[in-house]
Amino acid sequence: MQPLVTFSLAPRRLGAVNWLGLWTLYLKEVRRFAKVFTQTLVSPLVTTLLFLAIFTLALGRSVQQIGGVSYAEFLFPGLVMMSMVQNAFANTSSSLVIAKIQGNIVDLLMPPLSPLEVALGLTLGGLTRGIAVGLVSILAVSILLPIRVHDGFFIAFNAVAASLNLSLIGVLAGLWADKFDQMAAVTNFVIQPLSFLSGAFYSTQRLPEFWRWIAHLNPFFYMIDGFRYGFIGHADGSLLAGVAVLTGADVLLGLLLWRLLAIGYKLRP
Amino acid sequence: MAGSIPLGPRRFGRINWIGTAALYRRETWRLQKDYLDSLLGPALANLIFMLILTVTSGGRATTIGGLNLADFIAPGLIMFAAGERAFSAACISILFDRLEGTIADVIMAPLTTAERLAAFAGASVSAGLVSGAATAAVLWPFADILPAHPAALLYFLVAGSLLLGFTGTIAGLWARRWDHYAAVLAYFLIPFSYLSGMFYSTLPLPGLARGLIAANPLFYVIDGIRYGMTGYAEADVSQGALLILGLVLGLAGLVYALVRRGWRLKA
Repeated sequence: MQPLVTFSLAPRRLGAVNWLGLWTLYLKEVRRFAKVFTQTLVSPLVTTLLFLAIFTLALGRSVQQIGGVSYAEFLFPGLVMMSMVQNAFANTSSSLVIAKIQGNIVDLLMPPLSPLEVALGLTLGGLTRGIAVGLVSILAVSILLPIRVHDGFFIAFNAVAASLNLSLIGVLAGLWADKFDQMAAVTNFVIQPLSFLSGAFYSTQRLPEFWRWIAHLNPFFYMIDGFRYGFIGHADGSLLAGVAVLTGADVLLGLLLWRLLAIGYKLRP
Repeated sequence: MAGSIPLGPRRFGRINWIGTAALYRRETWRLQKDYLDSLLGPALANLIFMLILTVTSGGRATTIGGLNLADFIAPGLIMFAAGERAFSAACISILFDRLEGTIADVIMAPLTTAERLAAFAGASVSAGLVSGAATAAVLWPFADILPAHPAALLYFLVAGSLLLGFTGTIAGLWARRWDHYAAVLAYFLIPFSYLSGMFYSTLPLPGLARGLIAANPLFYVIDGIRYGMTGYAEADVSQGALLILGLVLGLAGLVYALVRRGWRLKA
């Protein structure tokens, strides 16, 4: 009698890319934040709307026109971008730190995934969170404010390139950190100050020359400036420099991450 | 004989002073140990807020209610720093103990409910005052920090810390997961604080918005602190003081009743 089922005992064969594994890792990263959407999507939205309300109420009368539009219209792209990048960072960094502390990091190390596939799966998860937060925020803000689209390319490019940037930084920080405290310190003392002082709330053109020069060294400035240009058609800095800075940072951070994962930095003894 | 060890039950008077002080010390130090995140983080965030508002208003003499923008906003930031810390310290402490099982250390100790309440309240006030002082220190270069009415300032800082500290204890008793703490912070504490007239004058607002803000207890706390620091107030300060006192006593009574019954503390 023939057996009903035959098992092949040879190892599972993968092509050049383990598509199924990559997709599974990506899906895990997305489901991780989608499951607690009140914390990961709604809560950032509430923060963005609160900031929009208080800054418009506090400054709307004294700052009537900025870059040729009302203060609220000037402000919202920066707030949305801040929210996107902070969430992209939070997604990847928390995923890795929690996995390291709880021990389920083996789920990342044991499957037949190459360093590049691990890097991609994690980073794309963070990118998805950033974009999701951005879409939800813009949708909600469009109910309150008239939103014009001046240049769709810069909106899309900056949204993706900036979220990717912070998603990569999040993975790198997650690799480095051993404790939640260290992660909280990076968030409190690096990510938040840089994103708040990026020109989201004011035009850097009104800064004294030296401080404007400093502000233009902040990569967050380019993320917000180009994104805002896409909506209001006014940029404080050079758009070309922004594209170059963001693309360069994405490539360099991506290569660094790939290398670190390949040598097993802080992951393998 | 020197150094004999009495084997009878430990005796204390009407009030277990040592036990109350020990619980107070524990509640105060456990979170202050983490001063980098709990003290310097919020102080830096407030400094950044002040920088952003100063730069955005463009150095033009922006005045709110006759005050400089910075003088108007500094009291709100100090209150938010104090209140958020009092709330978080109380909530995190009790939730952590419940989740980890160390709540037994609080429940089993020979303390009456009133003694526990006193220790919690003292810890909230300490957390609030320390955080408020840290924020006041970083805002020093921007705003006129020297108080116009020190007694009013101290009263509202203490009362505000107690108000949010007791709220934090109730939230910590109610919560079952860390998500719940994050949700209370994001959907309750931060909106109530930010929309309380911290950053803008309530006087030019339309009637409905003013009514909503007048129903927010934190408005009276911030208004009182602003009065204490600058002498400017948008509502009647003594009425605000009484209202906050009533709320603090009411919440203290609620926490007393909940802890006494062991709500979500005893199986």
